[in-house]
Amino acid sequence: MRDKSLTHQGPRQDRSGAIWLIQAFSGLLLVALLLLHMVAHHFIVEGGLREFRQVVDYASHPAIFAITIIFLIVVTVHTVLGLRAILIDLRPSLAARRSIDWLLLAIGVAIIIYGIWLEFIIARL
Amino acid sequence: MPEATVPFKIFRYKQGQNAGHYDTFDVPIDEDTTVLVALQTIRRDQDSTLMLRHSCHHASCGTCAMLVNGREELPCVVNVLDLRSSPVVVEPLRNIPLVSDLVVDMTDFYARVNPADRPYVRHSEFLPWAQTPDGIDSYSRFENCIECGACVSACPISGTDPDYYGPAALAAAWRVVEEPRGRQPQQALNWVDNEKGCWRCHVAFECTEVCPSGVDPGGKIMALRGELSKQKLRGLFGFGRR
Ligand code: SF4
Ligand code: SF4
Repeated sequence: MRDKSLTHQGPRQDRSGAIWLIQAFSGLLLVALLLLHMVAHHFIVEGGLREFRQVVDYASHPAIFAITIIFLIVVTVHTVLGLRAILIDLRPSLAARRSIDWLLLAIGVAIIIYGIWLEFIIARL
Repeated sequence: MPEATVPFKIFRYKQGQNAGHYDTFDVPIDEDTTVLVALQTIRRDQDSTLMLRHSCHHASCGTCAMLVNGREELPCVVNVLDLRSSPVVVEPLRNIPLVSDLVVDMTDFYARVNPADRPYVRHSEFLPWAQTPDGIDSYSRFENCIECGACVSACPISGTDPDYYGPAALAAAWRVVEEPRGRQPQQALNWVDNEKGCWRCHVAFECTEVCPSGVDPGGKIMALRGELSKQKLRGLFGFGRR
């Protein structure tokens, strides 16, 4: 059996596979959640969501509230990772990459916190 | 007898020049003339300094790959009249260092493909009923990839990131996984399991589109991802890596 030690001939294994998997699964989840969202908006609520009060009542429903928060997290993760992939295409230096990773993490966390806060505000209206 | 005279607009560049330019040559063409033969005619009759690479003249060696009207082709099998274009624009491959005119330096391309150590033969799927002589389990045939570089030329990621392994090397790694012939598939998988390897691809499939030899490098990259994903998920859920 030959052993050409391929692992020593290129960069080491890294997190990019895991990141790709997260992006792929969040993409799949996004499609499912969007479908759910559309079905709920157009078919479950009779006549559709037409008035402000209807929207508020709908958003305050515990199941919809939970789904919206999951949707928010999934969409943010998918977007941030997509943005990261595009920025990495610009071949930033190692230091710049670290900054990009931290910056995107901060932006993602901020979006999720802000989104959840808004959800609570709407639910209390 | 020539059927037509077709202008060829050819990219020209010699070492030491600041930039390339295009020269146009009128070439007598008959119904069998290929782009490669037309280029050789120019070299023989009009400009002996025109540089190009070729060998087999029948799409087996991959040596002559270049851009014909902006698309990666093996000019040895592109019929000039079939192109229905005037002029026919001929340029060197992209994303591979230029040496002169239509000649690119394949050193780095081979250096990327070779570490995969892909076997040069594969199990033959042709004539499955054919009886093999004693001592031979099955017939083999030569590998599909002719190492022409067309896929690397077409790949947008190879164009933006010179460290990307590129579609040909990744497809070669998949061949080791698919049919190891004494190689170590797991090593091939580990080799591509990083940002410069199979995860870098943006799934444009330009490589598959231009491959003249049916390798489907884009599909092979997806196969590598599929296999690595399975392993990662198994690891994540406690089934251990293969
Ligand atoms: S599928 Fe991947 S390797 Fe092929 S051209 Fe697109 S980015 Fe390049
Ligand atoms: S994969 Fe296809 S296009 Fe790429 S080098 Fe091999 S034969 Fe050429």
